[in-house]
Amino acid sequence: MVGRSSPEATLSRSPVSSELLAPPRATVIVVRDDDTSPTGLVSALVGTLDGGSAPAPFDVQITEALRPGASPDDGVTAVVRAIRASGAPRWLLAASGSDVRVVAETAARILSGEAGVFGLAGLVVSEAVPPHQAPGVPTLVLDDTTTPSSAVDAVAVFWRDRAGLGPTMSSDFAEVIASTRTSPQTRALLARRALADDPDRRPEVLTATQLDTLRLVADLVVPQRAPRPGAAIDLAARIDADQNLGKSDGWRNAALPPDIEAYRRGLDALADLHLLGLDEQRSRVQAIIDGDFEAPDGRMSADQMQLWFEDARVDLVRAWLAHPATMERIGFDGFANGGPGGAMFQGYDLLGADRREQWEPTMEVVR
Amino acid sequence: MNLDQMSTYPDDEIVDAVVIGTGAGGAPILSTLAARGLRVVALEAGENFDPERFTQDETEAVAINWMDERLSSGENPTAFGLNNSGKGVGGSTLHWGAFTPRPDERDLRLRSLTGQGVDWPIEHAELIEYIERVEAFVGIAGPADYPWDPSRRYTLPPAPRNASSDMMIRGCEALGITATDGPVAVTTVDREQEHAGTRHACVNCGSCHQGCRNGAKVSMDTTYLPSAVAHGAEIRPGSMVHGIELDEAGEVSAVVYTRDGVEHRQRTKALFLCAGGVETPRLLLHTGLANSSDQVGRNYMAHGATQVWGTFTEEIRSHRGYPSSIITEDTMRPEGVDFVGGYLIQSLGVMPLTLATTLVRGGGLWGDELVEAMEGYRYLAGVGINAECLPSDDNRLVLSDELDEFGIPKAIVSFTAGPNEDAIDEHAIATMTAIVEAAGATDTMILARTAHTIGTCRMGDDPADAVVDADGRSFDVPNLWVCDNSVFPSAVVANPALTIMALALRTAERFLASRGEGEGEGTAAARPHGVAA
Repeated sequence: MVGRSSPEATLSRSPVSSELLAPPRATVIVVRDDDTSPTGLVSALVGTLDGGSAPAPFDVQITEALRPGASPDDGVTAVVRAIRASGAPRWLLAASGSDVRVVAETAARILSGEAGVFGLAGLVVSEAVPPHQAPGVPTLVLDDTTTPSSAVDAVAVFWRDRAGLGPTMSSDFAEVIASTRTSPQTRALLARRALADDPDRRPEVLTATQLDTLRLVADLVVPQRAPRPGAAIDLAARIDADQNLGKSDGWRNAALPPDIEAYRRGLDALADLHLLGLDEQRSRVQAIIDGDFEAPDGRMSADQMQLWFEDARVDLVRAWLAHPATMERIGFDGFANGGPGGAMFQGYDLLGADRREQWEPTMEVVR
Repeated sequence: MNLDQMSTYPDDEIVDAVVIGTGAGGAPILSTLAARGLRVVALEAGENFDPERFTQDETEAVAINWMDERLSSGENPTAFGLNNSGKGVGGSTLHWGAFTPRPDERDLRLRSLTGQGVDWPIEHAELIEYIERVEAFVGIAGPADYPWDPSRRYTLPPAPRNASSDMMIRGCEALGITATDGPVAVTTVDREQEHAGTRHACVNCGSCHQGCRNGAKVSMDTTYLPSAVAHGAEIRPGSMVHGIELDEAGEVSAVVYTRDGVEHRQRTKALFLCAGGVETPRLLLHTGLANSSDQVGRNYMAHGATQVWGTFTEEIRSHRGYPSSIITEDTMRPEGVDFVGGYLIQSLGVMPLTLATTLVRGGGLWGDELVEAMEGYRYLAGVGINAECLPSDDNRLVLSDELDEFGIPKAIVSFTAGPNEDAIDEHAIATMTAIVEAAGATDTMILARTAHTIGTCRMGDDPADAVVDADGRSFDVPNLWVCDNSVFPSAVVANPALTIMALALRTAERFLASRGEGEGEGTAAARPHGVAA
């Protein structure tokens, strides 16, 4: 490594960019084959490029035309090319008819980290995608008979209320994840974690009431200060999912019941939290942390509430930081240490204060 | 690691030795015995990893940690899991920080010198000879001249300094504290490791605790274990031991373990238990063996590992580079204090999720303060300690009545820092705060934590108050040997892994000597007291 030149970047100290604050505009990557007169969904999306009367509320990028009988590899290559050409940090993939298979295959390769792109937010397709190819990916199925204007409206609503939820990253941050600086397995992890939380997801280990309470707790202990509605990560839902998978942190205080039971009892003890004003909620949190709040139903002592709440705070802050958008926000690109290994492994040549390497994203300061 | 060409032994063959655990204790033993031609099998609870599959991602990197639940109690309950417990072929050396200070002579004679703590039953000079052999074999980077030990030499150039390192050097210089590049088990140049191939030079990615992907960091799967396998040892990953059988003479005759859901019974002539400061005593308590002293599980110790972080005006981004490259040993025996022992200070780099966890557990942060602290992550540089911890009867590992998936009771570990630990901590916080402020911090933050799981099966000369003798051999079961951090009679300020590896070489050679096979080359001088051969 000695002697390897590493150009240095200029640090940016400009205020947070408008790109992060504005409601993000969707980009739809549309798979097109050589059918000269596309119909239905693809026709509707392609039609938005014709400069019709009403401009579409999203951008459209069309792939090069796929030949009949093109291999899945050719299809994926064409889609990846179109994603890169769009330059968008977050996008939907759209296709109809037999091209849905291309979209499904591309999604599978993105979720495995194999495809060198990043920013998959959802699928818009004319028929359902096999669940194993796009697990957890928000998907809108639109019948090919849908009229062009309803299709455009449906995509816009799907973006606003489902696929486009959660925080947004800058393009240059997404590009580092997409690049060979990030290993395929790490890219796969980040791709899954960047998918929007499903607002309609039913909790698995908590009741709906307990989940709502945990959402309130999350807002109090890890206030995400989302720049717009829907831009926050649903940390509570992610905790519920982790607990359902039985994820342990390797220990628990002997005074506490097993993790899931502690969550249930602790949240039941806070069932009145939503009735309190913000100041009272904060006082309650402080009382728990100080060991001064006992569960009203007597199922958790003040000591147990204090211990459980420490675990819950750790779970919530770790879930927040695990999202790639949070990594950008705090200025962390340490995941980008090359890959897959051996001599391909990459680190940093510039280690000193205020030094930044050329490949690194801007990661503007948020405060 | 590559196990494709590995020798294998059938369960019903009586092998020469079974080694439980493949970390810093088990691996050098396995290697030493295999090189002597013994038929040896290692049973490792964790899986065998391809280092190229490691990821920096902190959420998923716990794959290399022991995440099976343990119970903690006491005033300072130990947070297990990713902070201090490894699992996988290579054990805790997969996730360790690779910081390798040597044990201080005064630490091994704490009782003689201060009347507190206990003495080690091993001479410091003898231990250092084994340490030097470990250092030569695995490759340790460090300064050309070590200020606190002029005779010491490190052959590899030191790890490059990051912004936290520069901060600590600056702060120490301003205060007149000597600080320099620390001894670290990281190869800073490409290095050919016998039987393991090329270990590439460290690329300063900072992900030591998440698993090193290019072999730069010393871990057992890139050093001692490839050597063991080349000499005919078998490593069985995914093998959880839950039973030990004795013959009529009271010696171990077989080890019972579960692999892939199937129970196996490996017959053996000797057993080395090297499962770490929690799993080793847990298995002994579960099997009821080697505990006539009633010392199994007692004197659990955790190093004080408090950190002080400062906010700086520059971007520090301490995740870059080897995390803890600077050391001072000036604080090993501070003057004018009312505690015994001391501490060392190291510079700190930290990954975000790890920091946030400590902000909550050790700093009590929540809400805006927590989020703002993390938004200021890039401006944080810190220092931390590794501090003496005295053995105490009150700090103890026992079995709970909750069973794990193998039917073994989960461990309950109780730890409360004593007055000596508290006094060291207070002194260290003042010193660290002064360093960070002298370096120009605009704001400082104290985060309490502990590190390492030590004690619970201590070695000693008296069978009445020790589990194993100075060679690591059980007083009760003559062909049972223990080697990991559980045998430490006292915590010793130095981070434990280097000492564990040295003890492992020594235990293996004492075992060989006990069989009448003598010792390896260059070890005669390392046997000053002589052992019946």
